[in-house]
Amino acid sequence: MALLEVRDLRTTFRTDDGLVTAIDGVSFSLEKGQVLGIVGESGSGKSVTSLSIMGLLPRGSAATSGQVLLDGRDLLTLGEEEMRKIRGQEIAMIFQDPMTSLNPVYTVGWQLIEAVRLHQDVSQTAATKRARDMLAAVGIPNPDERLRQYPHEFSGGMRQRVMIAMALANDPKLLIADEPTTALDVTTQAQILELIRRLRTDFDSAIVMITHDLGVVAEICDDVLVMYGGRVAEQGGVDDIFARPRHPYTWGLMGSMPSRSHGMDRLQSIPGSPPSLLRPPPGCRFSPRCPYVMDICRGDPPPPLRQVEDDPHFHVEACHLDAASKREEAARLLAAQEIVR
Amino acid sequence: MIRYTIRRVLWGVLVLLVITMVTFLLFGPVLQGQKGLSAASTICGARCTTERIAFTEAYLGLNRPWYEQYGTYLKRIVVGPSERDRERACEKRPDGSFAEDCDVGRLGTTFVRYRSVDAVIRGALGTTFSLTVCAALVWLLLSIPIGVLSALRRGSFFDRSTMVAVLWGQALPVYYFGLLALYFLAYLPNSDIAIDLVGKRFEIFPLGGYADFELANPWPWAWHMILPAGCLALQFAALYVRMLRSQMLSIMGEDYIRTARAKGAPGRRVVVRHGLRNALLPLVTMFGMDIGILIGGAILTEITFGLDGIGHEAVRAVRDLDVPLTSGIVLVGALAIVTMNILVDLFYAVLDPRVRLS
Repeated sequence: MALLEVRDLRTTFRTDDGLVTAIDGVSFSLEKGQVLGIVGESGSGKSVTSLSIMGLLPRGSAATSGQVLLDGRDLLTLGEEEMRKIRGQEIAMIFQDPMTSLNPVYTVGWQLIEAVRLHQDVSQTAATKRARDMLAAVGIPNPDERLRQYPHEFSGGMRQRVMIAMALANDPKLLIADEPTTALDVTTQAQILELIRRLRTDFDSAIVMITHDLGVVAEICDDVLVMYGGRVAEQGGVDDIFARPRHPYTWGLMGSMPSRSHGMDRLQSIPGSPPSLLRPPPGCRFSPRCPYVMDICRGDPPPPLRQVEDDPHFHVEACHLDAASKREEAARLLAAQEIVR
Repeated sequence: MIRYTIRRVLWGVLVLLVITMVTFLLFGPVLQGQKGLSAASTICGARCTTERIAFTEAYLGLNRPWYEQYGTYLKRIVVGPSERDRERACEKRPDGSFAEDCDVGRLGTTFVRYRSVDAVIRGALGTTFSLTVCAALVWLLLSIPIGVLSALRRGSFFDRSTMVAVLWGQALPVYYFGLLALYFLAYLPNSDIAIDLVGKRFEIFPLGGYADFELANPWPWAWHMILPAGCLALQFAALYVRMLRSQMLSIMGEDYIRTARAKGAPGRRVVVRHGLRNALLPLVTMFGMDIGILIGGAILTEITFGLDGIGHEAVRAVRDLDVPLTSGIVLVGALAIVTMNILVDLFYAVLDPRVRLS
């Protein structure tokens, strides 16, 4: 049985202007120790997916349907108190902006100890020791001294390390990292990614890595879920997707990655902007921006998820374009682009 | 932290020094000699004889240069009244009467009834202090839970009714509530109308006045305090509810609140330990300032309820052109505000670690 199995997840927000379906039929599963990357632009539903799994969306205005099975238990049917026990203990989360994710008025130690004692019935001394050990584990020098300091005395990268230490304090089965490196500078990004990769083996938890950076995906993920406009565009193993991308949106993302062969050329970008989820375009949501758009793309229903024929592994995509043209286009793209791996 | 404290205190002392200068210039001899009259003749009054004016001038030291006068004034405030001040306050006055008391204070002697300004202020301070502390307790106890709930249930019936009540509380002056309260809770139940209606009088609340606090029997004190403190508190509560609500609304949207929830902290802990703890920070500053200002005199409340507090004395002093009393009250008010400011700064540094470094 998979550690985490998400089936047909659908989250709808009630807003003043009407209903917004932020994610529409997302399914994936994740084994112990695996890393799943969820990729997409802003507004593609990546973060809503993670918050839906955590049950952190406002109960009044957001409605979630489908199933989120953690070890076979459906989290969407749990009450607030049961869900609270799961948050931080079985599923932990780290966020995009480490500068604002720690409470400014408490010491780092206080916040780490709180994380431990919320879920473990241990003494203050034991919790302090655990907090200290966690700081050391995420590579923060002088952990004893650092425990007594406040978040503003830490740099961005160090704060993200603290967030990771806090998330892993209770040995969660699943870690959701919502763009953990986006707000950091490039060298720090690399250090944090390296840390996550190392901790994945040390702590043996599964990771959902949310990012808009295919480079990060190539770096540490096993599986990839490409999302567009709240729907799955393409999904499969990381090697398969990078070797045989089959969705025009995935091509667009790959095309906008810096590569060695492009040299000093300007970066390519996907023209247009992500769709309004309040009034999404009919049919395929990528159709208004897709260079290969056909009439069928603009009509309902949207293209269904189909297995990629020439791929032996699980690899699905949702696009009406015929398989032969896709093979051709993908080959051309890969030839033009030497993707940094 | 120690350096920070010392710096704050030194600043406070400097501010107070400037305020003594300003009060000296405002109320001292510089502005008092008006319309061709000397300061002494203004103070002495319209029907003073020349000898009497000369006596006043010498008595008050108005014939000496202004810096010397300021020096004497400042010295009396800082060091205390000199032996000469003491002797003079008890000496026989030209009209043959004696000073009513020999209590000489740092702030001088009132023109009206010739009392020590210190004693007058000391007498009034208890009342004002009681009023301030009681009102502050009431408005904090009211506004914190209401403000938090209002923010958490934004847009609900509770929130909207609170906002209407806040608007009322802020728009209507204290004497409006005060008079209504006095009429319905003090006067009416104890009047002939009550006899006509229910055949009995009730003394629910007093019509005003103040009873000193006594540890053995605090009831009379509390009984006299309920209406004035309540009315004063309502107005501040309205302001604090509004402030706290908007603070909570913005704080609860902060990333670290989401972090706290993602950690598995129970809702109440998230709201109180993580949310309220941060939302209260700006209110601490406001609270300190408000307490300082109120100790300088809650004029409207004191007058409405007939309390002999600092505010009431201030109005009297200004009406009677009692310069020493007026400037004394200004100094005490300034001292209250400066002290509260320093306390707030120090307390704030304890509450918000980010302040300590800067």
